[in-house]
Amino acid sequence: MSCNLRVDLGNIGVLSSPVIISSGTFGLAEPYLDLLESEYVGAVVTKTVTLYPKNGNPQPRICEAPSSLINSIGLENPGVEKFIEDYDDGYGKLGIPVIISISGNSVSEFTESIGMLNGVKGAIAIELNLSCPNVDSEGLAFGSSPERIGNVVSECARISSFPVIAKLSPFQATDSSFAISASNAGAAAISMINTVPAMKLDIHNFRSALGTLSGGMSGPAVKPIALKMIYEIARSVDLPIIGMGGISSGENAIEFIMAGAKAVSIGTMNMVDPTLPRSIIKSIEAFMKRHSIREIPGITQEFNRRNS
Amino acid sequence: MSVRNEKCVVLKNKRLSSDGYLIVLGSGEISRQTLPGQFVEIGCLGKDMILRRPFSVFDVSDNSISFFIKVIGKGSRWLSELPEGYVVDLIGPLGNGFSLYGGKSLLIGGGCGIASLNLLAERLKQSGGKTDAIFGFSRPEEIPHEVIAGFRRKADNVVVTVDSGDYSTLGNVVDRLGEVSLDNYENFYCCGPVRMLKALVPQLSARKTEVSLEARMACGIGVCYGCSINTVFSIKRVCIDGPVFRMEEVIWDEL
Repeated sequence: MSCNLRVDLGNIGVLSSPVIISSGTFGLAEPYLDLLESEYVGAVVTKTVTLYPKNGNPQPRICEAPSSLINSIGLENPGVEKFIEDYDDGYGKLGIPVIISISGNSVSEFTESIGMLNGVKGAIAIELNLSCPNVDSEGLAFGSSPERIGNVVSECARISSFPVIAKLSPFQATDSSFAISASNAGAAAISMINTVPAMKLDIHNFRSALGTLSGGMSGPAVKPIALKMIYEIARSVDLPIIGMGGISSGENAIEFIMAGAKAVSIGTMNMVDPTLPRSIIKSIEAFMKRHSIREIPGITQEFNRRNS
Repeated sequence: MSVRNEKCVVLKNKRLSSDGYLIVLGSGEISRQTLPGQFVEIGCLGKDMILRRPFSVFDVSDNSISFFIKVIGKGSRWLSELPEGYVVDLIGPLGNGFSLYGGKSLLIGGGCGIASLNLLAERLKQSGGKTDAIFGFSRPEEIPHEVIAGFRRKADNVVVTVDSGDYSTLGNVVDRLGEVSLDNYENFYCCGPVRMLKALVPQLSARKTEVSLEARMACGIGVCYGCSINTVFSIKRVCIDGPVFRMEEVIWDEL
């Protein structure tokens, strides 16, 4: 029996693999080619770019917590103009569909960035980072109410030549109002969840273990939280969901698909294990064969059938 | 040169000092490509740990790669307890490495920072340059005598100094540096704790000096921007633009 591993993300199109590499874990201008097994990857999401360059947060930007990583990178990036200048020699050469992640301090920063990015070769969608918890600015405020999310999504969708993905933080996923608002505003998909706001303290020095007071947590520790949120949101909106949050194995990826994700995205654990896309695909294939499932959505359907 | 992901068998794990271990792994792909001052990311699979840890390469042969590590945190402790035959996962070689110039060089190392200078001393010797070294440790029991003996075979004059304890030479590397004529050397290479590197800046920043920096890294391969530092030129990532920097380009007040 042959399995079809392609996934249909609606307006975004069909990906050859359900495995996507998450924003912030694949570099910027020089995506990491030596270790990438591109044949197993359906799409890559760029590190978030902003209209103006950002220096990022002070060191330390990284700390490890049990089965997780807390980061406070602070969206260091050279700005959209430089990103586009470098694009052809980096992402443009990948031969993998690219999703460009953007953020901004105002609606107009989002839309101006999109205006510059429209038509970029090889890109298939724009992902709106509405929830990066690291930046002490209005960036967080966009995510503070369903109306605000609706507003920025609709403006971006209106300007963008690419389908727009709304990326939700865990706090925008505790109920379905944010996802519904993004859907009504014209989002083509939901990606979730972004990192979980978290802290670690350096008790010997009475201060944060990071250069900022807190950061965003990712990795296997957040996986059960993400899974439950995806399960709920998948039952509230018709949009495709790109599921992420601590996926570190094929079994994990299958769980996310069962819960309702159309595709899965790997970040933290892909940095640790560059062979993860391959092992996820091999594991999904074996699982589908074992259960005589021919298409990826069949995994979700079988779960729903047994739990209805 | 390309970065590889290689499974490596532990061939030897030997304690060389109170908290220092020499770990030798079987490696062909990474070991043959590694340049002095480069590092690898080692997958450390201890309880609740997910991130790889960066370690400077101490030595290489055609079929092995070795590390001199100091037990500091969970990752290094896990490594120090690995039995022979265990398989670890390496990504490397990573980073830029030291520049090799002709002429007389002075190596300055502190603690396990001497690890990244070992391969450099070997290459400097092969290229026919004269090399001296000053190595500092906190206490006499931290001196890895086997490693120091190896340096004495490669370098002309190796001075070992300790901060305190029962030892013939007491003081730090800055004290020892004050006793040599800097004009005798054309190149200076430094690796050790940031505190030590900062203390060397007044004497060495106007000279041709390279420093190897440590940083907390999540990826080690330039993708996460977790190790970025400001330099006088631009923001740079320690993992991919470094770990070796010219001393005068580092903004030391921020480290």
